[in-house]
Amino acid sequence: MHKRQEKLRFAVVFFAYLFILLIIFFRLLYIQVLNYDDYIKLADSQHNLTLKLSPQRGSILDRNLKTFAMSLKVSSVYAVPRVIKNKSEVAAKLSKILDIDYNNLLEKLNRDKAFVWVKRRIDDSLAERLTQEPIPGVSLLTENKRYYPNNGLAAHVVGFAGIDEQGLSGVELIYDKYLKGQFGTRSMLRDAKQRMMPAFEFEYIPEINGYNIVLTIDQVIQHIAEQALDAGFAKSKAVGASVIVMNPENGEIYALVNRPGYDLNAFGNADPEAKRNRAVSDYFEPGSTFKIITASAAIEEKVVALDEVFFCENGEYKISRHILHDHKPHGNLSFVEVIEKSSNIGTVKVAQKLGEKLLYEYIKRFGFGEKTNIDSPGEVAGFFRPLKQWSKLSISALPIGHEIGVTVIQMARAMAVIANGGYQVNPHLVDKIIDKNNEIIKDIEFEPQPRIISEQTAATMRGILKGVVDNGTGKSAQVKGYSTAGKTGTAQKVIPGEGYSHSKFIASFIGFAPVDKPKVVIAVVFDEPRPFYYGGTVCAPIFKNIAEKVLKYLDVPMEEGLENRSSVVTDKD
Amino acid sequence: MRLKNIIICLVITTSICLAYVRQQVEIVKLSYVLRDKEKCLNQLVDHNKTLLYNNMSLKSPQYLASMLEQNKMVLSFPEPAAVAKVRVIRKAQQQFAKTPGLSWKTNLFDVLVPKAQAASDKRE
Repeated sequence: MHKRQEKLRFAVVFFAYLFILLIIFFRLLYIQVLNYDDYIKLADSQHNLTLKLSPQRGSILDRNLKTFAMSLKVSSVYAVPRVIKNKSEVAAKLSKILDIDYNNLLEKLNRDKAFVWVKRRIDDSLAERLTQEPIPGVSLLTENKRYYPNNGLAAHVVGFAGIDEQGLSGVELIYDKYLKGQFGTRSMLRDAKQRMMPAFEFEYIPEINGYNIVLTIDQVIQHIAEQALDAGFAKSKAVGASVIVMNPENGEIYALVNRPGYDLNAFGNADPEAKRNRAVSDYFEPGSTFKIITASAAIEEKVVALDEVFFCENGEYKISRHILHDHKPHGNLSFVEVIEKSSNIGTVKVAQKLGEKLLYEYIKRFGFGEKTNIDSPGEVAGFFRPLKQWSKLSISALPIGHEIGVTVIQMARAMAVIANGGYQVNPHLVDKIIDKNNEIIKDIEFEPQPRIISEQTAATMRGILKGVVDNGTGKSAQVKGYSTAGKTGTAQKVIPGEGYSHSKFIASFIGFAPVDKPKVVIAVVFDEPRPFYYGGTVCAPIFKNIAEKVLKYLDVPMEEGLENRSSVVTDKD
Repeated sequence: MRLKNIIICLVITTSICLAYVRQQVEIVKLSYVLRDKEKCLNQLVDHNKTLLYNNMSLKSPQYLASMLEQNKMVLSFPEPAAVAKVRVIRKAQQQFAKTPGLSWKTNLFDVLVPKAQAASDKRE
């Protein structure tokens, strides 16, 4: 009996142990075999940490390597709603510190999420306050933010980048792929307190920071142009205005200004109108400044002699039931005087001698009706009808800058052809792309461009355009110490459905200096200036102000005999 | 004898293991120190960048122009007659170069014209 009891006890204990062992075995089987993948993933997520390394966006620099745009590290606030116990209290505290809407924040904190942004890119002082007074469930993350140390200087050239540092406008957009860089990764072990252990690093692919973009813009020249334009813009009460300062030899743009402008550090608050790069994205009828194309074509094709006389019909010329007017009646004028005094009738008579086909060919050759391919987004080709669509009146409109839409950059490029001796140029804003050690990654170079007009024609045109400033409509563009040349323009604006306006004008002056060896081409265009609207009155003085300072800045020696001259105020075309 | 050998082997193995563990612990400790220093360095670099940005903002033409306007100061390019062209003989140049704190190339002429100022910044 005793032995039997002993056997029973032994059996109970044995089976109890066996049962427990079987439970452990099946549990192990469940963990190690059946759910192996899940548990490995869970363990990996607890031990291993893979960080995504954000690259630093490249800077945008001027031609002397002064900074236009750069990225800085700033703090952003995020919350983990699941961890926060008293949500209304946290929302009240945060909304007070960060100056954000309480209800909006509370709604965010009430979401069943592991991560919500509270406020991104906060000031250093606020970040410090949050570090000193920590709120459970609320933390700081470091992010990059784009800063523009010159605020609105060259705003339309530089452009801006969005909250996630993607380029949205200007050079920031066009060269985004060079600026943004490449993400890197870093994988390492974490300890029990979830701290990183750099000693146990598995993989490290370093981030590649973005390259720096070097512009052709010169910060000093840009500032000179902006100051001069601002003064004129305030006086003229215009709707808009643009200035381009360009090197006529290679198309490098030293300055590009549009008004109204905006602050790049607060681009979100700017009016969309102010963000438009008018110099490349708006086209207009140029009026008399376009006469340089007609005159160049006529000289190149030898259809006129410089001293050839044209009867300017005393200010009224009837063409197919339409009467063409001059701003001032003229009788007989030589070809040179026709351009100097900006006679519409005289220019049309020159164009009639040239013929429609040749006029069309030269307008195309100068690049009108096509984009200049400047490295700025939103460029338009303008408006220029094919020869087949010309009306009988076209030959009396196109030579004087009507029936055609041009951009400021196209006009500056056309003037550069005359200034540089007859070659087409590629206007561009970016000089090169460099890395952090200033090693050149990409040099922006262009193939030599075709000749548009002969050296002789260009020289003749330079002489005629000098006459416009010395004796004609552009006297206000005379610069102390330097010879200048250019052409004024005043065009009535076209109102859709109504025709030409009698009260809205586009005023322009496009010129270069010094005349013999031009260093800069300057184009000044005003949209609806008031009360004065003549190019010679509104734009030529701005050209003068810019040219005077820029030529001195570029160390261009003064010309003998011109040191004491001062500009004369004109009030016509 | 046999037991003695076993004990010696065990002591050596244990010592090696302990040394290895100690080494690993030191590496981990060092990595924490490194991580903290790296964090500190990054913060300093970021702070330096912020200061550079502030410096650039203060040197921006727009800010300088507004300051001049605020203080009612008008600056203009000097007339050619007002510029004294300095011709330095070699001996004087050598003497100047020896003067402590003065760099011949940067300090004298770079302050005269804005272009030279720009070139100076480029060198920096």
